[in-house]
Amino acid sequence: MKFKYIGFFIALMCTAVSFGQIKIKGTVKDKANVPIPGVNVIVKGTSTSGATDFDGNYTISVPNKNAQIEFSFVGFTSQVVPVGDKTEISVVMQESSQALDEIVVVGYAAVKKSDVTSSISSVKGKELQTMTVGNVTESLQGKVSGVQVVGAGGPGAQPRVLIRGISTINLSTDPLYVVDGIPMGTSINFLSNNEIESMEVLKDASASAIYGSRASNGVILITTKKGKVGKTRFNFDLSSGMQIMNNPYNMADAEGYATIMNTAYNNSGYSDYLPNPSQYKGKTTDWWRAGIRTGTPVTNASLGVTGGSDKHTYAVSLNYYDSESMYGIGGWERVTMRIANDFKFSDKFSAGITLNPRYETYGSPSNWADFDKIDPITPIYKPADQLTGLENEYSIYARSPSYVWNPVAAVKRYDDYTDQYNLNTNGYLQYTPIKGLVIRSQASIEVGDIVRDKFSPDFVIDAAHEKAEINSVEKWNTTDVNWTWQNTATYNRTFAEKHNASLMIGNTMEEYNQSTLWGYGEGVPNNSDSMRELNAATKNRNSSGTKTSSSLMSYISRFSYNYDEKYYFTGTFRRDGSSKFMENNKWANFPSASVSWRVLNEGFMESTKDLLSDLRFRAGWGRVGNQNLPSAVYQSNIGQGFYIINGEVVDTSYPSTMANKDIKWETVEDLSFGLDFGLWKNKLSGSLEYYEKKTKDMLFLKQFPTYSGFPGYSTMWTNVGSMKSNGIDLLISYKDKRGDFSWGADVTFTTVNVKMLSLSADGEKLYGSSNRTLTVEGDEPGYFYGYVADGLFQNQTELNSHTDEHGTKLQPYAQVGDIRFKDVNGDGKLDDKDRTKIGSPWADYNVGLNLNFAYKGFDLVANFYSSIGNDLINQNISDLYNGASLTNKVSGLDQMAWHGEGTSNYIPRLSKDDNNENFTKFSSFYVEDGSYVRMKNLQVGYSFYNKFGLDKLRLSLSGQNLWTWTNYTGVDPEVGGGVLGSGFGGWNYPVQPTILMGLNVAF
Amino acid sequence: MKKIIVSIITFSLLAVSCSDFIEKEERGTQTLENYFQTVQECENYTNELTHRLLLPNDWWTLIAPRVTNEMSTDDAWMGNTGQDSGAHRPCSQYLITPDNMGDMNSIYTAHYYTIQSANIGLEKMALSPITDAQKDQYMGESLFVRAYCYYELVNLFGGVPVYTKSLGTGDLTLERNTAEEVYAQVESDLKEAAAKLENAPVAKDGRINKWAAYALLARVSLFQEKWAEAKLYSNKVITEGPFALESDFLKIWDVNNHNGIESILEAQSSSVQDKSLGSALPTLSGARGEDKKNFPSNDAGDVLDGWGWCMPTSDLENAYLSENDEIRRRSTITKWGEAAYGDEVLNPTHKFSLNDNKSGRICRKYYIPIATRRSLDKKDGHLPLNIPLIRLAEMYLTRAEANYHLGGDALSDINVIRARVKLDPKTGISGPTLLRQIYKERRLELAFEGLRLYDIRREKDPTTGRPVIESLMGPNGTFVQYNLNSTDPYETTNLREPQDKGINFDASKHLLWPIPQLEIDLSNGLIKQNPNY
Repeated sequence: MKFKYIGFFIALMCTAVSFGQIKIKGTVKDKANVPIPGVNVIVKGTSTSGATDFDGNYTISVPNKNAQIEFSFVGFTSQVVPVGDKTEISVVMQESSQALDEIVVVGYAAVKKSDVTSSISSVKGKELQTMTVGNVTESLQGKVSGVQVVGAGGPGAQPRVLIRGISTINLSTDPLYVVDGIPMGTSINFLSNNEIESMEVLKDASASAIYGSRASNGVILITTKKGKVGKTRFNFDLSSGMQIMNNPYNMADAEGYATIMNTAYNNSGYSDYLPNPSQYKGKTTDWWRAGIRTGTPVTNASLGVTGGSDKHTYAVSLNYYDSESMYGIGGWERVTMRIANDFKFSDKFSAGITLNPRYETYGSPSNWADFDKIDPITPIYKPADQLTGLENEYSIYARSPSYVWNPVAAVKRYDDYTDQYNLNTNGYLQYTPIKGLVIRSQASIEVGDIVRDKFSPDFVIDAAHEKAEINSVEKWNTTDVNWTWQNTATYNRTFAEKHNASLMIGNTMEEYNQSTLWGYGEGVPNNSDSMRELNAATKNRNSSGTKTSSSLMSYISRFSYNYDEKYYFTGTFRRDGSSKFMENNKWANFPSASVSWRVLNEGFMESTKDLLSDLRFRAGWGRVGNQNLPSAVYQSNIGQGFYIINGEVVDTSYPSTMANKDIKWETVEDLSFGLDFGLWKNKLSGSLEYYEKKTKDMLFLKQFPTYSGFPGYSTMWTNVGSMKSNGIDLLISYKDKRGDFSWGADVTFTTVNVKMLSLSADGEKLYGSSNRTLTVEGDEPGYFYGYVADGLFQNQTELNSHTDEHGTKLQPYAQVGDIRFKDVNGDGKLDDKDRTKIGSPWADYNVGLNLNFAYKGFDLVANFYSSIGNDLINQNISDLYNGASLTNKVSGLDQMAWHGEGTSNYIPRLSKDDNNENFTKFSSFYVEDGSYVRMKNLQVGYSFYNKFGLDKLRLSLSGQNLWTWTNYTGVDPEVGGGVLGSGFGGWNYPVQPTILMGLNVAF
Repeated sequence: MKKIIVSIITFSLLAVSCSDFIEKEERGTQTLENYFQTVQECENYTNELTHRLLLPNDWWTLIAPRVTNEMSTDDAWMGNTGQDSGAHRPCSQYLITPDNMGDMNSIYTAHYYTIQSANIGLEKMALSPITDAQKDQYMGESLFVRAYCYYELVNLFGGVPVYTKSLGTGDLTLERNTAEEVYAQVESDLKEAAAKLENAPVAKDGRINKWAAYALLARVSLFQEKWAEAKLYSNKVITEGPFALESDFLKIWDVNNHNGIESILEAQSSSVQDKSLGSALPTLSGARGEDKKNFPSNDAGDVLDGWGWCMPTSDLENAYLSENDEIRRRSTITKWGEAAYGDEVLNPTHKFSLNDNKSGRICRKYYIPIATRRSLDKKDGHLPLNIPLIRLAEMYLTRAEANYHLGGDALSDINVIRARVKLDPKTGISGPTLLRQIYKERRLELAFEGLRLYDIRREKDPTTGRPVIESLMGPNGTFVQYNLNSTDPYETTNLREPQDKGINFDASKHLLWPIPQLEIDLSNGLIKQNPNY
């Protein structure tokens, strides 16, 4: 913790001169019984002062028994203790609720929180570590206003993180992650949450513009744990538990399936599909139980050691994360190590180096939906009379007529695993030639190797459809070498006491190199494990390889100024030169400016000091860019293929992508206004912000009329217009303490309104997700667009009356029990012009609620997250409610679906043919309310201090995602997706409830 | 310390001076800008255009619409009664709407991709540093491909937008041309192609040659009822071209007779094992549910399980029977339990799952002989069955039909075709009877060769003057009524594909398929829908 460090040196400089009347000694520790070095110890009313040493011990002389000793330290509440007759005074410092003087990391610098002029949210590692997650952003959900996190289930899946809504409609919406000053791309899967000291979310462009061309989706800065001056301390964390996978649907059993399908066939005029359903009674294949484990273990462990002297501090941690897959094979395992050393050679020179070796291994099947979709009559294995005994072990499985491949067999065949090895080395050298000037040079090299091995055995389950006639082996190797070098000079100076100014200038160079190699072969002599190597392939070898490289060179600067800690100004400027930018446009500029007025420090506010502990107004503006583009944007590539001429294989070539010569770069400009306040010594604090973000020249892989013949289904990257998103972020925190009981609550509230300001042509309509979403000027992007399902025809009279004025039926193939589609434009025809806006994938607001209580050794944390007001498309009903397909249906569908007047006004009659297009017309039938409230985390802990020879022992029990309230009937209401295809829920991997036991030991 | 300052300043200066640092080229990929510089590049590009006439190794893009078209006629059922028919049903049962076109979407997009690619190629090759003879050859082939795509589009969807220059994003305000305009472009492209290919070698190797251009000209002339031109071009191909009728009808579709003597142009295939260049048609339309027990060898290697789509109707079989046309019947249809024609020794009783087959019949033209099956490690995607696109017999039939309308000798051409399959010549027929015989001969000869739907849409019933399809389909259509009163033991017992196929046919719209709704939407309504959809 940097501020402790600084505090310590300040304390050292003020070494007291003692007069030696009464010598008092003691130890200063924090609540967790951790000694605090560098605490100021002052004899009140005198100039006598001292400081605690590395073990928290101090000695000080006081003049007499009436003296009072004051202990103070940044981040803790000061304490005054009367000496009396005591000669030993040990105190436990309470962490202060004052957050104002925290240090906040901003791009290429760290500043006091009170000096921040733009919109930055800070989260401590501690808060992130209450959850056991593979990807730390999952525990960020609901803790920061303005950040939406859509969870992704599955080992190693990456949640979608949106900072203040979307700013781009086709490119990646993930923010840039910067770890210890080094940009690390848009995935943070490699980092264990135990490694994190703090996380800062740069929400507006005035904060993120310093990251220029990559900052349009916001920037998340992560600071990892560093060593602390003091004795060597060990910390061990373990949480381990079970992820629970319940079947999201109650699927029909064999008899029920036969009944449902027969109804569908009969309703379409066919004879029974499976005559005499009762013969299947008791013969259900329970696919789910056969292939899916209800509980799968997850473990997160970490062992850390920190310590150091004033010359050298270190922090070493070993972290392990393991999440098994619900298939019983594969999963995600990660071992990371972080070795951080910081050296202080002299008052002028310091340096540090962090090594971060990592290993990940992952891979697991992904066909869990097939366990629900496959029909329940097909057995897992072929019946004995269809087996000859000569089949290989992959061919003994039965084929389902439902088109769904035998999922048990697919899991059995699965052999596709990836090992990933990385080493990140990050070092800096810092030089302070004169007071206030810091020159810093930092370099980082990331070397990574990803090896993916895949083997596909030969098998014949069905000679027509489900087979691989020959086995194959594949190997991919990807090597990455990325380096960054950045140099900054920062000068801080206070002029005439009240003018505080700081100037930072610097430059950075980054290069990213990737090399890939792929090999393929067939005809491995047998499927045994030891033969699963490329070398063993005897036929049809193939290979390919690529090398790609990109680079970025930038100049950065920041100027900050404040007058008397009342009026603040910060301006930043970045100039990026990027290899990804197009020929004529290699360089781009990204400016920002922000101001802040700390009202509380005004003289006239003096009278309110009892009530107000903070009051500030902020405003900021900035411009950022988006360089995250595929190369195809500016290049028309030639693809390679094969054909036969004269019986011989010949090469062929074709246009595989087409460049848009007129393309421009996408920029985001935003403006934000904020108010920060604290009341009653920050017992109640918060911030309220309004933001408005404009994206110009949005880049989109637009689908043009298909007669254009553009490659990739007539798509081309193009600038499609501009979009505005605006909204408010609100954070309210309340903290209080009565005796041993303390509690707190944080509420985050975020709204995002998105609107298309203009499209490239007047009246243009932009379709997405085939033509199921529409984007037009003046409305939100990507709204659901289709027919209006107006209930079901309950009887013949209703059916006969759905006509035009001449009595011609609007839906000629409809029967009673089918969906009535609305003639929206009232022209007496049901056609494409009757499609309209039928829903919105965008939430009205997101609310997070974080509660914590503590009583003596007990503590309790609860986190809730909700998304309110968005719609979702439940695509699964096209399988689960639809008699036209042979996949399994939900149990009791024959009774849930319309089967007589008044039996349902929602699920249409079962029909094999679906001539009314109940399921093939995209209509409001598919739209459901996607709002949800989810309890992300509930944790109860008990801590022992100074027991069992340990400084601290904490035991905890927690549940994640235990409870979800929603009206959505699909798999999981947390649904991601691209911007013009957002909100399409299907068989997305559900966010699983998890029960965990935790152990934390410090010694 | 000074060193650091110096080095930082040096670094900054260095950084400014070496802006090479931010120059990175894309490696390993050629770009359109610098392509078409060599003969090989032009040839490769043209090869792909030729490949895209049918994409024979891709079961979905063009093969599936092709068989779906067959299923929309009186020749074929969807056939597979065990599985979901959603891709074929909208067309086959005439329930198609612009929102629900099954697999008929993909052909529209795919052919336009090919047209745009051909336009790019034509523009670039015109400027390419290759010889004029080479330019003529590759540009001639490209023009043929463009014409073929437009010919298919106009037959499926009617007048579609026509363009002959490569399009950019600013050029996308096209509207539909008339069918006449599309045909005019087709003819002009074919004539230009024929001229450019005049001196190119005719190697019968899968490459497009001038005879293919003339033959397609004959076809599109016939389709437009330009009888004189139809006669002119078909006659030219018959009399001047290096083609002859196969003496054995079975040799036309034969894994061992690629690009045979009768073939004018074929979609190529190969069993080469390290690429997927086999034909997907025998898989998509092969017999479903073969069982090794039904082969004398009792060997799983003889089994080639197809997906069972597009199965012959008894109505088609009756057409052969009514002419005692054994050779063409058995070369076109294998009935359940019959020997595979020409493969009697190894497959004397070809059986398959009747439960999954509407008609108990499969298409013999798409059959892969047992010997070939045994020779392949990998079968799916590697079946070496070329698919004829144009062959000589069609030219005789075209000339016959043209002659009929021009008052020439139609019978003798028909009798040439009949003689090859050992049928007695027709004599003494004329007028509507003769025209019906020409139509019938076309059906018997060219069944399952991708022409039936186009033929019944354009052929006029001599009695009513209306398209033949209107007399076959609809509630009173002869094909519909035949099936509703049929006694066929297979078709009438497997009702999972309804017997009333074609009953929903509506002459006011079903002479064309609808334009995909997506296209209407993406063009912002500039592309208009076909009538009554």
